[in-house]
Amino acid sequence: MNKILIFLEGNARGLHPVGLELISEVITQTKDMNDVTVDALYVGSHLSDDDLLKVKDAGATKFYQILDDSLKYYDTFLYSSNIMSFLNQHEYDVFLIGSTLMGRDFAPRISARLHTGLTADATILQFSQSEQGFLLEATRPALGGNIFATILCTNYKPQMATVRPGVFAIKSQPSSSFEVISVKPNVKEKSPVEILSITPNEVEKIELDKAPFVIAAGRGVQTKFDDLLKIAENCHVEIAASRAVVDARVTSKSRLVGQTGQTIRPKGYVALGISGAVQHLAGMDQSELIIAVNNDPQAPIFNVAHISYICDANKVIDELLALQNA
Amino acid sequence: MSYSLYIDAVNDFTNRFVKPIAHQIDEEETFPADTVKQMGLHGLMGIPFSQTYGGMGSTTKAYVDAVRILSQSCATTGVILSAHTSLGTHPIDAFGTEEQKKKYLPKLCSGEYLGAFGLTEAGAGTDASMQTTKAVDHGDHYVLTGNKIFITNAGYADIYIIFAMTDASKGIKGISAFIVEKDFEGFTVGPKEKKLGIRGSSTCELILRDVKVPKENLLGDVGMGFKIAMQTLDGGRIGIAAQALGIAEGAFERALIYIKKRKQFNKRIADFQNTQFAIAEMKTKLEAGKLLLYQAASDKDQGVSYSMSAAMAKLYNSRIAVEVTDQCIQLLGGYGYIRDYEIERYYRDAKITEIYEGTSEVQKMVIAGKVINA
Amino acid sequence: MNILVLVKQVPDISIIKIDPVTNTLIRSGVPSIINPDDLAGVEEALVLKERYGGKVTVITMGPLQAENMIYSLYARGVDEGYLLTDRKFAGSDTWATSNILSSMIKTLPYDLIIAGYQAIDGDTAQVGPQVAEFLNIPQVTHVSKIIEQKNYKLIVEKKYEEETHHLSVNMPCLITTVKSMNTPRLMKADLAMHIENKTVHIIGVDGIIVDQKEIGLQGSPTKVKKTYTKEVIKRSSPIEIEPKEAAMRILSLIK
Repeated sequence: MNKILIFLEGNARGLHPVGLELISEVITQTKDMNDVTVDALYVGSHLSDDDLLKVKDAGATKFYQILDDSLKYYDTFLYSSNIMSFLNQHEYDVFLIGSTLMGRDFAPRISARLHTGLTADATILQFSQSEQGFLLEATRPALGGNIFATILCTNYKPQMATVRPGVFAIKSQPSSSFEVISVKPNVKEKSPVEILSITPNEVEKIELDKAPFVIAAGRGVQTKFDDLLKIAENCHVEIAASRAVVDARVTSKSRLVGQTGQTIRPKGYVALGISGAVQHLAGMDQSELIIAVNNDPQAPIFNVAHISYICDANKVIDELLALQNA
Repeated sequence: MSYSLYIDAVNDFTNRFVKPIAHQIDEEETFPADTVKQMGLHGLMGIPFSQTYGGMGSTTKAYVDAVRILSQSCATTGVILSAHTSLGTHPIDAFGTEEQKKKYLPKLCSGEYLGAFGLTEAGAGTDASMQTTKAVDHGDHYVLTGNKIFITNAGYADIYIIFAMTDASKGIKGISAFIVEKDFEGFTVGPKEKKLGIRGSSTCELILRDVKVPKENLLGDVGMGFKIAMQTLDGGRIGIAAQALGIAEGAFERALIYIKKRKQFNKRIADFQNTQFAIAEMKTKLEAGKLLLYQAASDKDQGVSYSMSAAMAKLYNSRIAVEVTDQCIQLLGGYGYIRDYEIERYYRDAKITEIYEGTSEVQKMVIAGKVINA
Repeated sequence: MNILVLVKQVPDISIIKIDPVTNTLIRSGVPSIINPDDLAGVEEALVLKERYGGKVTVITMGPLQAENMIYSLYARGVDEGYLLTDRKFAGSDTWATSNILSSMIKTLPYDLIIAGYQAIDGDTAQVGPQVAEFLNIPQVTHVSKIIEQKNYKLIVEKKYEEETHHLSVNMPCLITTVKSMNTPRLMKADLAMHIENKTVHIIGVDGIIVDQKEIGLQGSPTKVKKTYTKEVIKRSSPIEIEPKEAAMRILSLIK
């Protein structure tokens, strides 16, 4: 039997979708293999019924919960020790974690403690079953997204990887035997880190990953960012930005699409004045319909766009505004 | 290894503090006071002076390379450093008493103080001997009265090396030098001149009305002033040669980027032979100018006579600065005339290098004098 | 305060280009820089030193040329530097690298270890936490601000996606820093000019206590099966169009 464990990350607002994305992807890939189970592990203070249903729907077999009030907020020590005690009692071939701030905080410590391999920020997962055993090939971008590396961990278990959120789709494929198991939390020892205060960030709530249509502003149109926001008000699109625009402080990081920002796959993605650096493409090239507007016929964005227009993106924004006001 | 790390440090400094504001300080004619502060914090204000007095203890070459690199981005910043180092600080280092050196050099080298030099008067330019500023001996102090014009760093400097006539009957041997602090009673600075170029540099008149200068602020001996002035200007011209070369190099770099991008008649203009010939000529001039500059710096560091090599360095580099910047604007065509393209400023900045700290005519007098009377 | 900063020399990836003919990375002529997140860490360390006194030591594992990086850090005010270099370290993944680094660190006194959040070449963000694990010290990763040191605890700010935490960490501890947290100071020209007064400690495998089976390629739990550049696909050919026409077509497509 080959077993895969997926870590489900959550916070006060509920489950982070990455855990469900991973369950979906792993099940899709392994459902035709012999005797492979996919379990999920959640650490926190509580889980809503809605979220529980989502886990079931995604298709996990055994769902382990480690719940305690002291686990309400992420803590390296408490989460790592609980995950470690769990892993010491259950053997897995593969352990996958979302490549979030939380995941990238504890996964390396766990892998170091277990003396096993950890691949960071994978965007492609491939599983294979053979006499050599159950193997994960995790592919990840490196050198700022300029190259891809496929990583193996053949001699140690569990083979670990953190996986980028937003790359895989959540599918509904519930398993026939879904079981919820509560695990006793290990919270006797005090953490060396104390939370002194928590303040919500004053950030506009921008849900780029939920918008069906996104218009993205690049360096070429950064002076017209406010015009784009006006356009967005009137036609249910969300406005995103490239790295250059965020670095120029025209808008906040919450709108950043790319290697160091968000990866999104909207139905429509309109790139205005964006040259198409590798780092940006990494965040959007899987969008269903990509329309690019740029003055430079050599702009790399035109390689991934389904529709490519050579003209002044600033003028296009002016025309969009004019058409809306008409 | 340390020299190349030093050059990296100067380049990094220029890219972070100087380049981003060069256009604006020229447009708005503002003195980059914050840059001066940063130059102090980064150890650039006392390069050729002994570590005993807080300087870097380094060479004239290191100093001129700093002026040159700064000037590649901003001629104003280059001249601020040059005037401070060669004209404002060097006289104290070379001619000061131990007490004067201990009092002023550490502050000048750290950048806490900015230095300046006041020799030129309305009637005394190239003929510097026609000094009318007077210094009257009152026992325990001197009283200075007169006006100086075209003084670089004026209004921002903390100390000024001022030349005044202590004994009119002795001619040039009657001129003495004084260290005048900005807050000395009776010392005021006039309004800023509006100039063709180096517009961020503060150039003003100094007005001395019965300025009380303590006896201990006499620099060198009584009557030694002219000698101090001439010797100081010899060194100052190496700094200006560096500024001129930097201006030429900065313009050249910008033109090179442009000609490789700009296309006309389906070719890059870099692919036209007339452009290529212009590039070759300019490059050769820049290299020749650099060699003359480094020769002068080396002569000074070796302790050999450097009046002629310094004069040649300034004469040549200031001429090529004017020629190269002119040529570079021509290569950029219409864009070369647009202020936002930041090349026409180099053309405007270049001209002053043929004029101040000894006009090119003066340099020729020096060179001819050395050659013919050798 | 004794502060160790882990630094890495990396290629300047903003300049890296792909050869369109062979579809491979053009690595030659790409200048090396100090990893930006690490440089931010050095800046924080120097600020802490100015505030609380003490010493800043940098440690790097890399080829011999990384020595130049340490000299440039000396010119910024760093006190001491160690370069771990040895052919036997080559091919180390993050586990093996962290093993080597922590073996070195165990020989030095420290109150705080600062590591950059992630390196722009490897992009893993793993070495910091793995070193903390090997040393068995607490960590806070992706710190946005160091507030102060008090009663031998470090008070830091960590920004999560939607909230900001103020945390108190028992020392000695390890934090990872991000480049957005400060503007690193430049080299001082006078320190650069006199850099030959300083030396870099060059340490090979014999200078640390480590099991040689747990370093280098053979000691790495992960191995690279292959690397490749993304195939340049061409989904469409660009057409010239008037802005008004483009705007109309875009509006119709996104309705």
